[in-house]
Amino acid sequence: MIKTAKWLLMLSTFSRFFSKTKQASVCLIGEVNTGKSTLANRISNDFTGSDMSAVSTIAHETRDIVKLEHVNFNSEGKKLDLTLVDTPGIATAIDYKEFVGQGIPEDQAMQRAKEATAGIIKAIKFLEEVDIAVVMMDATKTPFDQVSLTLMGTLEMNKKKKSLWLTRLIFPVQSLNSSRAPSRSTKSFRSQL
Amino acid sequence: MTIPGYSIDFIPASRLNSLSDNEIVDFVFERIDNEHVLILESPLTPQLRLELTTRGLLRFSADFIGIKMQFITIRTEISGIFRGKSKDSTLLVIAPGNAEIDHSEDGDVSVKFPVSESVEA
Repeated sequence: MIKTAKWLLMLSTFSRFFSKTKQASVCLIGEVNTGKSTLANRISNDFTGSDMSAVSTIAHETRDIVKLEHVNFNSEGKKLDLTLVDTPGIATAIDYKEFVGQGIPEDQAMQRAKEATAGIIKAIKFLEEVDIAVVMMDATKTPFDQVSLTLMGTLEMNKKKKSLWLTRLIFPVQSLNSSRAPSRSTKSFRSQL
Repeated sequence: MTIPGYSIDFIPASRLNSLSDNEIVDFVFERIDNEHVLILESPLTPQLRLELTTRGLLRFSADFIGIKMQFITIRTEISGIFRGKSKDSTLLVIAPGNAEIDHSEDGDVSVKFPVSESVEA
């Protein structure tokens, strides 16, 4: 897991890009179970003392956008007022039977899947509004899968619309739930960034 | 190649060039609904891939859980005066949501379905 100090250093670096900007929104987005909510909670705990989102090993625990406003950073005399946004895990197909297999009753599993699909569409559209997208990836899986495709496409389109505003950070992390080593394609992808 | 229940269609770029974006999306879903796996010579635009993703999620039901998409890259050796160099071509695989598309580090691509229905290419 990324230490808060590293996170602060990273955002401090970003703040230089916002020399005339007092506010910015940072959106944590990526595939299911890549640690978005875990990271959001770590930051939220440091600033507010409480969690932002529930965390679960069952996929699609976060099914709506969660915002944490007024995360304030000071760097070199400049202030940055951040809004941190945690989003549902992105997928292009949701198999409710997987939830059933993890012990959720069928009707609740179906409901969870419906809420998850609605949340994903909302999250993808929400990318148009954010200033920085932190894309969380599972380094043990190929980065050239559907979720990467969807996110890259969305970010590319938004870049055209808000070329001065949208800063992309692609941030591969190893899944918190996996002890496997990063895949070769992920290493290659990371070296290309 | 046809396997009981599923078929794999290779769609050349020229087939889609004459279609509008909406027609391409309709074309893909019509094939997916009929249990086809598509291999597109053209990887489509980001907008179209996004449209396919959102349209698929909006249609979510017990019988339709979305679609799967994955890029596959094929390296071909160039002959003639540029002999010795290689060229990468990117294809896009689109399959029903219950499929598992696996692109191994060795370059092999397999599309697998639950139960006994499986296709390997």
